Amino acid sequence: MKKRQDPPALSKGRTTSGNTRRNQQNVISYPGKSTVRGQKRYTRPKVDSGARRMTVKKRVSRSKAYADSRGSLQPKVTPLYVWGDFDVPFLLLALALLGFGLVMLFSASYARAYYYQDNSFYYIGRQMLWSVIGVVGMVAASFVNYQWLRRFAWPLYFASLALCILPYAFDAYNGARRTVYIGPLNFQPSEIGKFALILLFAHLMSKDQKKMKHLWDGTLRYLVLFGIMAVIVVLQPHLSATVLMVGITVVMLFVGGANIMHLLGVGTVGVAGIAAMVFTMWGFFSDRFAHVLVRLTYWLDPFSSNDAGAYQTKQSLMAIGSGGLLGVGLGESRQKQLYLPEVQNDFIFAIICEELGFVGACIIIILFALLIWRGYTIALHAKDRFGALFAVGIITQIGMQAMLNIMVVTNTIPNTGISLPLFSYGGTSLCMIMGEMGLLLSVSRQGIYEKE
Amino acid sequence: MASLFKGNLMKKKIELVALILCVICSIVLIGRLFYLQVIEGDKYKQLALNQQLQDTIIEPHRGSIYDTNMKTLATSKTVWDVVFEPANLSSNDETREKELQALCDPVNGLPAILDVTEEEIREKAKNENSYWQVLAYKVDKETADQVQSFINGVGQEDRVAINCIKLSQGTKRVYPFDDLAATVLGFVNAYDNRGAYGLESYYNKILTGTEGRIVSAKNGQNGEMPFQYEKLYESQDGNSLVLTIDEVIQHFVEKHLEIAVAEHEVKERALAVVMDVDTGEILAMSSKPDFDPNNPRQLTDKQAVIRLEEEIAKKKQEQNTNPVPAEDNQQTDEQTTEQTTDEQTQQTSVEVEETTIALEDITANDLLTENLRARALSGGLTEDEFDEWLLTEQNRQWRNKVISDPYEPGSVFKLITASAALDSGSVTMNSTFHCYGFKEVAGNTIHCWKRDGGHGAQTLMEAVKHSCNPSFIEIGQATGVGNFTTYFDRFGLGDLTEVDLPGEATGIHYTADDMGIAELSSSAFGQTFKVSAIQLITGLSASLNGGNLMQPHVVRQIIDSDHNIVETIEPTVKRQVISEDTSALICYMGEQVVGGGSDATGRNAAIPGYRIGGKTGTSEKLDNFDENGVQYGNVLSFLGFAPADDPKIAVLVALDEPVVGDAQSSTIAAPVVGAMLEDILPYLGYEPSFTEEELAEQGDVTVQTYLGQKPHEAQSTIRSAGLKTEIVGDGTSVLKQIPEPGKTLPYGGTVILYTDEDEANSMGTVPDVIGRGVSDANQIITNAGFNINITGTVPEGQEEIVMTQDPLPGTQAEIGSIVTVSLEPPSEETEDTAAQTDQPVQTE
Repeated sequence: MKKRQDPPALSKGRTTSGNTRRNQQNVISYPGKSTVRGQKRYTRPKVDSGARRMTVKKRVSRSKAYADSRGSLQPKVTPLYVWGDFDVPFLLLALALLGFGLVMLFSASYARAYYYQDNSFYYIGRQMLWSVIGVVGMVAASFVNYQWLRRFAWPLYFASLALCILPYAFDAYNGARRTVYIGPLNFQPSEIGKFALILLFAHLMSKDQKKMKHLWDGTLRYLVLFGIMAVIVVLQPHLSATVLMVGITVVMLFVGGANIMHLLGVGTVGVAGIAAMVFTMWGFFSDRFAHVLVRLTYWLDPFSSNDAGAYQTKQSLMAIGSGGLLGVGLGESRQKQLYLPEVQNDFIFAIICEELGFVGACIIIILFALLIWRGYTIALHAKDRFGALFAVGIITQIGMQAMLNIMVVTNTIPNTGISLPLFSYGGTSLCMIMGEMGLLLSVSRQGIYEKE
Repeated sequence: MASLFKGNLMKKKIELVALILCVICSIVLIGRLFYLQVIEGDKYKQLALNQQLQDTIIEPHRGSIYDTNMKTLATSKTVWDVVFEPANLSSNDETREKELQALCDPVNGLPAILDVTEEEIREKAKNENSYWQVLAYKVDKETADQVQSFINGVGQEDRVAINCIKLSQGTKRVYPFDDLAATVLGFVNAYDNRGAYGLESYYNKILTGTEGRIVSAKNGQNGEMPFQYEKLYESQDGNSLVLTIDEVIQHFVEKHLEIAVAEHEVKERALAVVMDVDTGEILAMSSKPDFDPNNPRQLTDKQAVIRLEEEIAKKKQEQNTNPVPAEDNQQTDEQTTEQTTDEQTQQTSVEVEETTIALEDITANDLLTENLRARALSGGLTEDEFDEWLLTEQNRQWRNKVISDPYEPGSVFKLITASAALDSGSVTMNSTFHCYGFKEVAGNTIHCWKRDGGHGAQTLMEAVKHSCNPSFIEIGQATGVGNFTTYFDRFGLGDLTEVDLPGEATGIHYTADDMGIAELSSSAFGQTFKVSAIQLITGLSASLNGGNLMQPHVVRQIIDSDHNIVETIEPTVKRQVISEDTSALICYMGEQVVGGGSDATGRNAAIPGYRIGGKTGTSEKLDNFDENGVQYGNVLSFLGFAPADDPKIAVLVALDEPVVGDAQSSTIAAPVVGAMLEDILPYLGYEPSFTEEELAEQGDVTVQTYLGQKPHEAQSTIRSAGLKTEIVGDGTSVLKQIPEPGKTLPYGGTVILYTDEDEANSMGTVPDVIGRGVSDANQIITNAGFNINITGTVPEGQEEIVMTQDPLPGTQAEIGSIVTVSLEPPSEETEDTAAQTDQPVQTE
């Protein structure tokens, strides 16, 4: 197979970034005119708006910094921060969902908080505090030059492997060790693990772009890196995180240019191998993953079972069904009155369905869809291949998590503990997601937007 | 091409991923939500509501039933079920045992309050997850209060807390007059308070009302929702019924009917119904023996024991004649009651002799279900057979004979035939008929009850008065099939009366198409067809009240729980059947039946001072055959009405299969109606009135001996002599009478007949009448239950004042005994009299 020289980034025909910058500068200076070499004009959307003038100036100064840093100094020094326009729609969507999420979290959680914590504001109070931290973190992260993170790809990977082993040292909660407790804080290292995988894969796939068609360098290497982490996580056991890791890995390999045949082949062998392993080591697996099998039966017909495991799904379906077309009204949910467990967490969407009805639920789904779409748009317009893959990884993680959560809540797929980004209670998780979205914004700051 | 593809490849892949994650996933999820929320939404909503809402039913108060004077005949009172919740016992074994010990404590625990044993409680405690083990049903407030203070641990502060006993409120139907009008009222099922029989059933919906609900939301921990969600649907209490039935009249009727059933050993129950002929209102309605609606399953008919013995004898006979099935039975018996098999065979010979158990030997104790069961089982019946028999007997005593058991009315029907004949112009009062003691119709000979020589030539009035069958055959034939059937139907005898009671049965009768001369002839004197008593009295009322067929009814008013009138049932004329003139003639002839002299068939119903009309009826139960195919059984009935010149009430009494030998209605049923009317008419405000001639004849009456006679028979004799009677007790013969034979009473004085040993000693205090006027003294002494004998005279113009009395005031004397008062000052002479009349004063 002939080796193909891939372009460094998505935009066509550019050889150096400096060159690109200049082109861009031209474009901005002379909107509507054709660009150098007769190529398509590169432009920002809505460049003619009055508010853009400020950013035009900034862009000029940033271009200088780039020209200095990238053009004159060798080897290249990657700056710690970046300065420029970010993707406003993405930020607005994220903030809208966050605001929506806070309102719904309060509505969904106050009864439970009142009953178990003796304080209706227990969850919402903490979540709002974390939201402020998260927004600040997101804005801060958006200034971080994502290129700069590349140097941490390998260290973070190994650190997160170590972190993912940490929960084994703590007491089990609901039969699983997923969480690390540090004083009043707690977090799931798998969240960091996912991010570490994204960063590492984006780094490797852009660095070794040419080797992507190789079996080992293009596919197996990543699967091994993924596999090591996945084994640690899945034995916690933390199936949902594992599923997300699988999703992230597959999507990134696919987008990163791995040989599809390799992917399919390895995938087939892998599934067969896991099946064989499960089959031969049944005694080992049956104990640890019995709950998975039981959950499958709950999934198929939750109302046939009176077990506690099916309870959550049943209550969720009742809440959703109670909502009907227009819902029972904000704050009026009855299922949140201690019927539906984890209302503040994994099953918050069911309460949204009950209170806001089909219409409200659709609005949330559409907002998430737009956010995800916007995230991929950022990836599409990323300045370089690393940025694109990095953005794809992050938005895939967030998007899959949102969609999978709603699928779980609606019993479209079997129940697995997966939270709804920006809605579910959980400070560290919220901050993690918002930080990642900040990095996505960072990618967008350097993005190259092509007027179509 | 290739480079373009290469350049776009990653972009395309990202777009593909975005498409999958944004569009396809969203569409799938939105579709899924649409399915869950819009299509299946109601299903899940219902499931959610089922768990979220607790529905507390508020039982409406069931309406009461009042008699026409607002006396309560049926009402509901609040009672409590004591519920044991073993699920609320502690899960800790030690605490649990402590709780159980507290429950079972014989001094302070539940066995001291309720009818439960420690074993029962411990047995129920084994249902560990149950929240509903009832320890006692329907306890009254007093017991419930005791249970409550037990739960609260009053006086036992160191005891373990009791959380597993609850009181569940409910209602119980109470009938304060016990068996009064039982077959009319019916009863309610204890378990669901639904009317099962009678008015309780017919008006169940009106009495029940609408149940209310409190729908309140609860949270997942069964707690109150902190945010109110509560909806109250008010319960609507049931409406009450005000009956046309008058408790006093009903009581008189039942008393005399009970006596009649006892004295004549009526086998197939007896009925009585009193109707206001002008309005169709039913003033009293009774079937005896009946039951106590407070305990409707308890049998009351002593004949039931005899029937059970017959059942047992039949079973034994079957076993003897059919040895093969007998063995089968024996085997099943062995399986069920092994140890009794031997006893059974041993007892067989003994029991056969015992089957002829005497009616008077049967006590109320024998009628207890458990004793009956024991009798049946030891007699060889199986449990199932006994239960079936018991159910049959229960249904029998619940049955309202007046509306549910059509019978052949016999001669009572002759008033209808006469009405039809007169009103259609087929005969006149001057028509004459001939009776030779029998008459041949279509080849059959029909006898008159007076076989030797017959009644000879008679007018219509005489035919009625003599209740002459051959004459009525002629009258019927003169009327013709067309007229007869038309009037039959117009009198409402072919249709249900639609009286407001459940279970009305329609009779059997010939129609114009299938009625030949033979059928017409027999129908004319009330045989070969059946009508129910309610049909008959409604039709007869029409023939007495001026010709209007009224709608009979039992309920006069429906009132709500605040006694506001919801609905009043006004008298409704169905149609005019006969002319007023004809009706007047019928009344006249009816009066002749009772008051027409020594040849009047209904003379035993006569009451001095009252104008009573009536008609006797003795009918053969033509469709009643014993096992040899021989027809048997009579229904003796009597219709009475008063006042005869303008009838106000009609009374129909029918005794189904009394043990009477050859006796006729005239001697059996007529006195019963007479006795009823004697009580009812004064109550309704009708005072006896006498003609000058009659007054002149009235003098002191010498009391005869009535000891050993049947009460109604004695009463009838006493009545015809111009005295009043009061029957005390429910025995079948007179055991004692006050005053004693040979004593003289003033006209209209009262003779008390005791039929029950226990009642025979009622004493009263003789009131003080010295110094009072004669009429005052008379009233005081009569009200105190004594008879007065006034002696002495005062000079013309002087005031009649009681000077002496005997016995002296304040003495204890038997009720009914004579108090002699003298209008003259005490003298030697009167002292002698006093010494003589001292005798009735019993010192025992």
